[in-house]
Amino acid sequence: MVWIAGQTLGTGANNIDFTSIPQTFTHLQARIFTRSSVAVTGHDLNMYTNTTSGSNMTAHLLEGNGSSVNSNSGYGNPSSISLVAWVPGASSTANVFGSVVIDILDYRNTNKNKTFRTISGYDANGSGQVNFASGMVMSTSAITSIGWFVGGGGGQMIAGTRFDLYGITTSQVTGA
Amino acid sequence: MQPIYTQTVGAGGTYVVTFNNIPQTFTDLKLVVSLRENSTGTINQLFVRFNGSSAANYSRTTVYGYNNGVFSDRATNQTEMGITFTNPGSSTASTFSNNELTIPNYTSSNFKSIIGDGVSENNGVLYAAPALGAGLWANTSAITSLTVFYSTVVIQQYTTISLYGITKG
Repeated sequence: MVWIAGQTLGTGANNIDFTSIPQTFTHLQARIFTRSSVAVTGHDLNMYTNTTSGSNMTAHLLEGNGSSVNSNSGYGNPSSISLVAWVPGASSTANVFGSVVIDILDYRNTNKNKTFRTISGYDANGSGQVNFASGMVMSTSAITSIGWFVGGGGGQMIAGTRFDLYGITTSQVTGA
Repeated sequence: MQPIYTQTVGAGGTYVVTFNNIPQTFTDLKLVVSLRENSTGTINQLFVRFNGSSAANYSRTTVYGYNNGVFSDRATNQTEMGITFTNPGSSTASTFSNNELTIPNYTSSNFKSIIGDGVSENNGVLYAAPALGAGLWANTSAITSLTVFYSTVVIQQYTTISLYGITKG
């Protein structure tokens, strides 16, 4: 796994974007550490790519919050994938950030729509949530850029947030 | 994490993808799968066997979301391991699953415990299932081969399956 690029916020930001993603890997992994400024305990982290447009995105999730479990789905959502990850907001316990890992297989394969696999969550010593989710962009175009923004309307990812993007290669040996 | 093997399914599809002669020099293995098969009206697990064994010594415990419900199930004395799901032919065209299995201590003389997380996606509520699973292969042999297979459905062209080795420091 090779580090491609990263951003660590010194001040809040509405969006995080990685552009000009090298087209030399097979898979991508994003690793995220973030908290938002939205005055809620937790909410969605939304994702978009250069290939998202109109109503070409879907998502399905499995979540637990310490007392109940839930499964949800969204499809035909325009412009971004919500339900990708759950992160703490400003009303959560201070200094608690959420962790997110997103795996994108075959990101430049033009025979496939792009399916994302995400694990995310945070614990705040009496509150918190864990999510396991999927998302899809119904486009076979290669992904050349990825971006994120927080849900809840008008929020920012706060200082201390870190996003890192990694590339993963595959073997030329089949082992058949 | 080091790439060991990768296979991409060609035109016409296949029932079986096998990795032979797995090096015994790593600590753990990781299997990364982007798969579509041609079943209709149902969703199937990602079936795996080790060392070609079809003995009834595989078992699993899983939790998954499906059709806006949450489910957990268990199966014992199975002839293969299936702890996450793949994309069936009934799902949105050109859509492949995203699965990862981790096999720690694959050369040890203990039983093999496997964990997996995987998703299948669909533009709709069916045929999409985020799943987490734990599996057991009750065999003390080192894993030297790994097979992804289906008996009656075909793994579709463009499916990619990669095996990685992880070495401790």
